[in-house]
Amino acid sequence: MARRSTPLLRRLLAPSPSPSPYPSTPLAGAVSRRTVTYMPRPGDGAPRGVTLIPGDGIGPLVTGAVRQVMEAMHAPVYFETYEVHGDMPTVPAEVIESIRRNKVCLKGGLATPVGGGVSSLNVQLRKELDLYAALVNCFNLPGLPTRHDNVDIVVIRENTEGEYSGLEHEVVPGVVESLKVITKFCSERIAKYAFEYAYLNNRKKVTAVHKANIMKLADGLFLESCREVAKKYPGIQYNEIIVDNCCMQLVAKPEQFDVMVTPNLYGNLVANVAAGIAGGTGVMPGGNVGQDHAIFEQGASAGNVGNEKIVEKKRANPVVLLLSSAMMLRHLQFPSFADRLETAVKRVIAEGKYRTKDLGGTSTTQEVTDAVIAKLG
Amino acid sequence: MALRRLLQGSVLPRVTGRALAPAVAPFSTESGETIRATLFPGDGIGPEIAESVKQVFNVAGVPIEWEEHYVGTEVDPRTESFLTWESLESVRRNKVGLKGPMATPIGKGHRSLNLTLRKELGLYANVRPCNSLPGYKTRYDDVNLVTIRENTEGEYSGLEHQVVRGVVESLKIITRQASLRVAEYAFHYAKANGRERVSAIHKANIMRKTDGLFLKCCREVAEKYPEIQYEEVIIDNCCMTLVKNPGLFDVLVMPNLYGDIISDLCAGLIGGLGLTPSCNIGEGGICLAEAVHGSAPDIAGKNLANPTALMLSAVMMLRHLQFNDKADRIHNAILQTIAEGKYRTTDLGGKASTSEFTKAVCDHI
Repeated sequence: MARRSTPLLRRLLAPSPSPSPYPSTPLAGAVSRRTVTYMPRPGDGAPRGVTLIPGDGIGPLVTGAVRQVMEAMHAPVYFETYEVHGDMPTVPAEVIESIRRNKVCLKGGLATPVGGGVSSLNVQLRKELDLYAALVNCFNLPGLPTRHDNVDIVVIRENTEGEYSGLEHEVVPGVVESLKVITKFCSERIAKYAFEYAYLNNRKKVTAVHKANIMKLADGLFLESCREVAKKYPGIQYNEIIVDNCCMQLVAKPEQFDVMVTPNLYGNLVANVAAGIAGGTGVMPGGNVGQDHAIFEQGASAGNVGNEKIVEKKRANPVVLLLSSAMMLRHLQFPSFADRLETAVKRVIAEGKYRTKDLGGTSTTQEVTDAVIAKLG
Repeated sequence: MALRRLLQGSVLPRVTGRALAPAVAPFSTESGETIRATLFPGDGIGPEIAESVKQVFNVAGVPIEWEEHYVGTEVDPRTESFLTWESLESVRRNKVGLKGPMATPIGKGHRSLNLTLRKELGLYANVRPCNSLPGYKTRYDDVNLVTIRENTEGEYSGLEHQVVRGVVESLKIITRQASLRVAEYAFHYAKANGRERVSAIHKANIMRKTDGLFLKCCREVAEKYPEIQYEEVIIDNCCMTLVKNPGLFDVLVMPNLYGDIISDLCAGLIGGLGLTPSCNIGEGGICLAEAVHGSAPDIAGKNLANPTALMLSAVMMLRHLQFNDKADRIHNAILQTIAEGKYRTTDLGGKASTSEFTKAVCDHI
């Protein structure tokens, strides 16, 4: 999502979607309505395949919403749907095959049974496809009241190693060890991704989050890699912050943060805190990306699939997955569709008539979806 | 639960004695008997705020005799740190202490001061009650929770090594013994302070064996306290809920790393480390209350420091000693002073000096 996207701003300010070249509002009167156009190559409009995993809990509801909106827009994507559930032992091979072929996937959450013998499928997918960067975009949505303003944070989290290595064993009965592994290779590539992201998106500052005063070798290695990469981007500010201080600052002064790069576990916590202050997991989009593939999903808390009551009453919030699919459309280089979808969602939220319970309203998923479709320009 | 909160919130300065008591103390407190307590004033602003606490205690008539100990200038070989053996013996003997902020000297050949205290005194639980201060407005008004953090093991075991160049492993250790100990303390605290719910924070869906063991121990202890509600919350949801709706939490018990982050997060919700009391519980009923903020060398000696955190920690210490009446009076005095807003130190947006603030608190007692 490009906060500084001028076409978006103009669309929001424009009085009606009529194709007149000069708008009537004084605010937008000084500039022309469209920016310099995106010129595709012949054949770019051919429909792209996207693997769709509805998932558990509220997953099928919200992915259904995305499908409806995509159809209404006639977006050049077609979905290959696969049923995967959190209690399966592994992700089925055909699903992985499909993602490798399509290169892009949209998924609802997969609930991991707590303490059970199954390892998290969300984590498995990330490791299998080597999606080493998880990105969560946390920003204030106009019209949605939160306690904090001026939030515009992107949390980039290392996704494959760290505390989530899954290497645990019982030393003797009653004593358990878990290994946290940090490698230079993974730390370097996540730092490179973070700085490259900042560079490509005109972001000014990258903050590394760590606990190197206690875990001197492990987080020390992470910081070293970040510092090395920072030298190659002299135009981007770089600083470091300890994770407990970081959480305190996020709650007190979130405007000081721009892009944050973190190892695995801290990234989970920081992403959830940042998403919470900006409006909640129901609205913050995100995705996982690797060298060859990308999976778009709910930004933070991918394992949180809501409870049965929400599923029964069909009141899940589709906004997060709609915004993530806008991210996906941009990733697939369909900027116009991404803009339309994003604008429609933002208009629905700003109006405030159709909001699900987590945003303080009473609408059902279908009502919000219909409202978004109605607002598509 | 809601009624209790309503009563606590509506009548401004009346705080019940239950909010901050760390534990049932193994003391018999007959009136007239002076208790000896160890005091580590610390560095930077430490001595000034320790003075404030002593003043307030004098005015309130608290029968405590302070044994002051300072961080030495050379490493004591018996403790491998700048804290002398005598200081530690003093805490072991007195069983209560108050510690100001200590800056760890840089260099090698000695352990960090906090690590020394923790290991030598067996401080296994860190308790931080976080309550929104009435009259001091932050973005959150209804914070009323206590974080209890396991302080000895977990991710902070300090066991790291480089496997090969560019690959580092760090061990996270969870033992049944330590988890049971902190869970016992958490439920005991909840019961002693009239708290209704204990939430265990974990990430057992990913770290199945380690956090799984922690949860198992919490469940075992929960069965012994059927009157207290017990729930388990994954840390993602916990963070999210704390930031959106902190009034939903009561007592939180967690392993070391999550505890560190969550307790600082909660401190941020109520206004920062300058207002947060904290207390470390050790084996044998030792209670070492401390101020968790830094030593602020830039304002040291200028009479600008905010003594609230150390004062509130001292109140926690008083409740541990079961001087509940005095503790209530001092606590209410502090709350009233802050709520009135006339004497507030610079970090709270006011212009009062440390001594003015202290005098105002004394006047309110």
